[in-house]
Amino acid sequence: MINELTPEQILRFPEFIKKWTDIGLSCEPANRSEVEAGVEETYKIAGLEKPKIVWCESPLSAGLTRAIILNLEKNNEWKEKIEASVRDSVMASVRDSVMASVRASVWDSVWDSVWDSVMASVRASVMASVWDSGYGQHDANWVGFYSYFKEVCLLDKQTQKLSGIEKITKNGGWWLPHKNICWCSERHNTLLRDDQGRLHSSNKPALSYPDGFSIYAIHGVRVPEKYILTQAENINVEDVLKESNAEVRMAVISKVGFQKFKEKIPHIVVSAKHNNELLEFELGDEKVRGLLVRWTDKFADKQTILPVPKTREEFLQWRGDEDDLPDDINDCEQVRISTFPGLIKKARAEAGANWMQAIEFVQET
Amino acid sequence: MKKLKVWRQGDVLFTQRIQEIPKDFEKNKDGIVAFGEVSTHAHRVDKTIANLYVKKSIDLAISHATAELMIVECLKEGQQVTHEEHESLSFPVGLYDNHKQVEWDWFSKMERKVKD
Repeated sequence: MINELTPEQILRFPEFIKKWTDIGLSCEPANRSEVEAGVEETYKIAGLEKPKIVWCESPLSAGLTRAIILNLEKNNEWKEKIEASVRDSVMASVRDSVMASVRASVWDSVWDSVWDSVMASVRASVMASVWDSGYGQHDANWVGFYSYFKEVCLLDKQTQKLSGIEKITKNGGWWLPHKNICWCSERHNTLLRDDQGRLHSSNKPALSYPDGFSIYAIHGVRVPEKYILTQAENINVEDVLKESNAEVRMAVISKVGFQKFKEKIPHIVVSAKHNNELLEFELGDEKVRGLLVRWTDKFADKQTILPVPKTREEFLQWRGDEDDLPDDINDCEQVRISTFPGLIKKARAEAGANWMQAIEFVQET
Repeated sequence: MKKLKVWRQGDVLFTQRIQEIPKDFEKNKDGIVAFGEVSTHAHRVDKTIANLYVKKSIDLAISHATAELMIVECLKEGQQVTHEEHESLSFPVGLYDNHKQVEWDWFSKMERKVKD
């Protein structure tokens, strides 16, 4: 039983964080022979026959190929997913063995240092933006975690079952294991991130695979390809205002530049308060209103435009209740509060006549 | 003048005006108050010190999409509501009703939840 880590062992955390983060973010071509050896070994550990291995150029093509083949193939054996037996069961078995050999405090210490750090760089920034669950290089956080115990704490026996998965993780991308067949994917060949580690590129794919499957993102927000491949000065700002997703709107506005964005659309400032502005834009023949809201989060100062109604009739249509409308639809602050359903009416009841001053955002983040 | 206290975390806002959990609400095991479809970030309740209650009859996905009222029950002090980008919220022990920001769709002339 390992009761605590030695100072020398603790000193090796950064080495493992770097090594496994690099693996998770690697854009090198897959080492196919090593991946295939890893797959074979993993199937063997699970008590399964060596599968036929089909290589694909991205997780998308692996998923599509699998869907097509399984749809055509009459052999039901191929349809049997064995992810649980070759990956999850190995993970559970290794976890139990290692847990039985180290004190909880040691487990937590390595978890916090290796697992969480690699997770933050690889899974949170890459995988979360692309798919729900991942394999291969994107398993770097948990495989790296057990690799630390194997190499530094010499828990060879306890982590023995992991050797095949470790090979796959170090050398390739996704793998989709089925009985008798395993689809393996190449690694991404482009990966661009901002200084917060989020997927980011304002003029090319932030993530792409050899077959061209790409993800476009601005500071971690996935946006349509057209906003990335079009130069900022040529982006149709009316299209941006029509985007239904507020994060996408904000991300693209950040590419155009807020000042330039406002300059491109004729507008007036109806009113302003607390660093927010109620704006009225001319979009073609139509006038529409937007609430420019500014705030600060953990990363930066941010601003976006929320479309809001322009007339009392529209406000009524929006709320469906006369009591729930702002007294003055031209008042920036009242309109801002009206973007939270039910709050105006409640605020009036709570605070009495002087209700607008009674609203306090006591903890705005 | 009595002041209304409001806690805000991005496009999600909380007030303290509910005395008890309504009978048609039930505890939600996921603990996600609001979910960002593009960023995949979430306003999340720390289930070790707080519970999230949602209306029984409404599917959680619909509840998120339509900005339905949810209630956070804070059992202990601490950072009960977290988010990847925003600062965590720390409430005194108690019940908090949640409001999600909405916007107006200029073109369909309908309200929609602020999607992120």
